[in-house]
Amino acid sequence: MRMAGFVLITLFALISTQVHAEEKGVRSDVVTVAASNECAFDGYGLGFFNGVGNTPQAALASLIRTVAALRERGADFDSTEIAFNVFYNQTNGTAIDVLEAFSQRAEEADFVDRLGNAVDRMEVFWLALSGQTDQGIILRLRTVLGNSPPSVFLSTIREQVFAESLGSIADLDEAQTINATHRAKVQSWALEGRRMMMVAHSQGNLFVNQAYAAAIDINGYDGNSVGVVHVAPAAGVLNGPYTLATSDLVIEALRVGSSGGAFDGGSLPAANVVAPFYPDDASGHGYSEVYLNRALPTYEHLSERLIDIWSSRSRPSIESNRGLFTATMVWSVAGDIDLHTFEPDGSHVYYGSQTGTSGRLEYDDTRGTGPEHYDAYCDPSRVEEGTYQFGVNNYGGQTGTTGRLLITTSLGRDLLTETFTVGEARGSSGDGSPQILGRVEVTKREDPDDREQIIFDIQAVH
Amino acid sequence: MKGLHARIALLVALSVMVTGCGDIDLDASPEKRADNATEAFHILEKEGVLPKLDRSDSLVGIDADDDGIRDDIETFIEQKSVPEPQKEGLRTFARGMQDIQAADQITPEIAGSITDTYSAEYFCLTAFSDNMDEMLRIFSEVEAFTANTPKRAERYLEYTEAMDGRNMSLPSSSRCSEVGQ
Repeated sequence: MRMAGFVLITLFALISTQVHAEEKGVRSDVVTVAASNECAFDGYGLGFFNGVGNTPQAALASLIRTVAALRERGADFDSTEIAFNVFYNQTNGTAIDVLEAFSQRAEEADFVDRLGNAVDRMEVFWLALSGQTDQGIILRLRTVLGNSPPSVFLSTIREQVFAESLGSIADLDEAQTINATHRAKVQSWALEGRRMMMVAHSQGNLFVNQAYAAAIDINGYDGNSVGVVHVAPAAGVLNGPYTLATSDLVIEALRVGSSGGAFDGGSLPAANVVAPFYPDDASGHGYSEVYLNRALPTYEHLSERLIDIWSSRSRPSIESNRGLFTATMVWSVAGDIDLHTFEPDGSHVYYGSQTGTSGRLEYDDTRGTGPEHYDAYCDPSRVEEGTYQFGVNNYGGQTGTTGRLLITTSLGRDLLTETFTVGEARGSSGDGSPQILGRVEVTKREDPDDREQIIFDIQAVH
Repeated sequence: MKGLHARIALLVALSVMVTGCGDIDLDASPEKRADNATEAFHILEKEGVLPKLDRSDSLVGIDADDDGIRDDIETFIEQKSVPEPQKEGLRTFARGMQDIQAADQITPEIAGSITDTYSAEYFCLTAFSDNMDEMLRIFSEVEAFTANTPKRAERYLEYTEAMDGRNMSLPSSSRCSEVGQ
């Protein structure tokens, strides 16, 4: 217990120095690397694509529960450097419709005060949405309300959000375009040579399939290195094993309700784990409440698939390019758009000069939608202190093409995500004056506690 | 599409109604009964199950000590029996939730920036802890208590919408585990 306390205090101090010192809009990271120039890297990326009715906090909680399930199954989180990411998506009109109608529905359900006015205690909305329908505060409220309409109202708030969400899911389809920011992240992980596991719940499955396609689109990176585990898939196309409970009413409703429509519910996979009705989550759809609930057979089924995929990914044949920091650029319309990097000593790294003093252009795409990828060398002696500038030039792409520039450190932390729109194609005449999208300031110092280590302070600014 | 939407929603609603029959029998419990929802909340507040929350008209409520955390939320956190570092992680999260309410406007950049301020501690102090379930429940409660009025809930939804399509990049395992987690 004492040890646990020490660990928490140390961890807190560590994170505080790295995160609290930041001003909004300026993100920084501290990376400590061995001075001995060890570039060998066996990294992993674990990503979670959330389902309907999730706030960012709830999506983060789902990733944490996934980590816990993997660790319980014996996944090794110590000898491999693992980056974690929530690929957050929100279905249009999910909670909003329910929220807007909250007062009206509350009134209809006698969730009212003694004067008959709707009780707009919105905390119950969020607690119910987070799956606490039959825990803690909500359960206590329901207990003092007995088997009354207001009590039933409390127990079905979440299902109402799910129901509202289904129409929005049905508006999506299997070709749902992955958000460019998400694609940049996945392709950045692939180019760093990370093995990857992506877990998707509910509507997140539509996006994860596109993420999977983006990963294997990188030369030298294939399905042996990236794996997907689908949970309650709201998608007919699968790129890995799945878990779908017989009690999942949301997917069942989507299957029946949207058959033959733009979204073909008839193509959804059959339920493959028999799960009893679970009163704590009447929808049978919750990631934490049902699928990673140790009291239900879904837990065994899903955790087995998680560890199977996790353990069976192999290192990619692609050369590991774990730079001290990397810049990955993707764009929306196929064409020749170029990433330009200006290093502190003035070296200009781009398609015409791919090797600089501190890093190199690893990936130059002249026909597709990216990525283009610059990485600073992993050898700390070669990485110069100073300002690095990153820019874009529309060499021959379509005017108005939008894109993202993502700058991350070798520890997987995003420092900068910049959205851009290119002007008219300028060919090579634009090489000398690209549109600057972001800057990175790098300083380095010896680790006072370990002279074998070099500490880099890396800060990104718009 | 509206018809389809309605059809699916109806199906789920019916399903919930049907399965609701198998729900727990709350009348079997010899508890004090509330006559209406407001009274139910008062009972829980008196019992200390639910904190008395600021329900003023403003988005930010009262933060008398100006530490970025609404006073009622801060009191709620102080009463939790979790180790101090985790409590500080809860405070950081509460500040993030409050920043959402206090921001002049919510843009994707601002939403992402606020998320960055709390997500690292949230992740590392929970994912590798022995009290994961308890911590996740408290985080949910801080989130819910901060967005506790229609106006605040609407602002919080603006934030979740602004986060659509963004990455929440978290500290790597070496950063969380190098301290022996």
